[in-house]
Amino acid sequence: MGPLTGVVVLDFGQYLAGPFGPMVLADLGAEVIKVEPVRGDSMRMAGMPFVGCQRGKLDFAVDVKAPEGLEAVMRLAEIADVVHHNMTKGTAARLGIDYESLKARNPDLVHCNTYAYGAEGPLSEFGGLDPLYQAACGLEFEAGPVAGGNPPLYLRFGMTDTANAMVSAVGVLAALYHQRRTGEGQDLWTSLLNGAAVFGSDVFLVEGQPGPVRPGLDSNQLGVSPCCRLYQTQEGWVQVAAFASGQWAQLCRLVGCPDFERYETIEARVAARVEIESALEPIFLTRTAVAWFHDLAEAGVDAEVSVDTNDGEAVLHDADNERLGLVAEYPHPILGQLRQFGTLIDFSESPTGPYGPPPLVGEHTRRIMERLGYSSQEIEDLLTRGIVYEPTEDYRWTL
Amino acid sequence: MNGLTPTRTPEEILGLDPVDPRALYADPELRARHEARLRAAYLQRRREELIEEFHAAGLGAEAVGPMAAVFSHRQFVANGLAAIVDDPELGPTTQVGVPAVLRSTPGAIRGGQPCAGAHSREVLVEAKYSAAEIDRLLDAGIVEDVSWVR
Repeated sequence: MGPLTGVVVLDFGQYLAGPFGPMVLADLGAEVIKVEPVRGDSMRMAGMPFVGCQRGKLDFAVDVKAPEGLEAVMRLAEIADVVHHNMTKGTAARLGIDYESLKARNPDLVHCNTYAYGAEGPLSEFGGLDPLYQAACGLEFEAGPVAGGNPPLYLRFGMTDTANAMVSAVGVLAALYHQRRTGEGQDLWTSLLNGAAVFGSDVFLVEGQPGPVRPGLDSNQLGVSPCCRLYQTQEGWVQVAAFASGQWAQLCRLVGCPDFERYETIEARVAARVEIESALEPIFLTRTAVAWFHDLAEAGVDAEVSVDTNDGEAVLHDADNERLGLVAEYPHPILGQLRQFGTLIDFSESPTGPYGPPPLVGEHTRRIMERLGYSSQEIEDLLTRGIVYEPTEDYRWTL
Repeated sequence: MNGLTPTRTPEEILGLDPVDPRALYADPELRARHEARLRAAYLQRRREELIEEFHAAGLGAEAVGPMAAVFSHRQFVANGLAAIVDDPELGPTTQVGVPAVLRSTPGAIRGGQPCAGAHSREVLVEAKYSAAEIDRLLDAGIVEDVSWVR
């Protein structure tokens, strides 16, 4: 029973940027209905990336291209508060489920399209995937860093998809607030390019100056200054983030280099990187990362051990994370017991969770159609004709 | 996911012989040889020309550049993401704009970064503090009120 209890979201999204935002809304208590083609979401073939974006949703499998299927979607839109998708420009209109068509059936609707490039403009007709926007917004260049003589580096986490999805969730919540306050629905959009832009939020140009001035990543990709970087240790790596007041001095004392306290500002430490780091690197090699982490913590210096999570598995079986609610666990009818990240926001009065598993194709088709007022005979007819689908004994998907 | 139907393949644009994607997928050695040919062909071409040709063919492509270069990206500009903000300290700046576009109630950047205490007096007035109370808080150093002027 999260804070969005009672809000109904139709999710036509595929890939990552489309479905992840609605999943966040589902986590917050919204009833999210995944509207899926009867042939199945093509991302189901991808396995885990699909699972990571679908928990807690209901599933309505329908052929929108059939007139009766389109009518069922329209009836669903009438009871919805939000429609969310990532179709390329013009696709929703071709299917008859664009904002104007939906608005004719539900004027209060909030409609969100997470594009690749944007709603208008020279590249708006294009779709696209995450690496393009990492390139366009400088993430690959900065991560190289190319300025340090390295090739660009692709960050493999689908960051612009996730950012696009999170921005869309914020946009939907703002539009819902406006809708509740005024009764007016509206159309909104974000894009992968807009999502990527978020990562440049500390970049700005000042008129008359050559460009942004900020510490760049070093060519070893270890950090931006002696007080904020990875240090190799006797066993593993430790990440130091000694930014806060007094932490630099504590770090210098702990490693036995009190002279470096004279570099009082970050700028001074960056300027003296070679001198400082050539002294600190061999010192960090004398003990393990865990030992350094312990002593840095005792000294009040922010640090973390850079851990191998075994592709994330260790994080999901960490006792502290479990205690903090950061791990969610639920049974899936095919995959068995699933673990995933859990509660990201704690609400004192409207706690979120538990989360359900990703739905099977059409798992809730019948239930949803009954809610829309379809008779048993009508449902059977549409099932028989393949216009809607519900799981049968010959269910052919692996999840 | 591309919204356009590509009219040419990258190999066609690069002047290479066509390849069967299924054969590449099935044969790592064939794939490695093909990738070597692609790398060599890419090195023969100017980046901006290639991007134009890719876009004309409905294929995705982007230049890899520093973060600040994105402020002149034509779609970035079209999206309103290259926002001019008058900062009280720095003067006119170009910053990332509002990433979610609500068509009926669009957001907007309300101003540059505030100086410490720039709105202290205004906030206290809104919170129904009297002028005498505000002055007392300011004099005692409990509240800071700095009107930083460039």
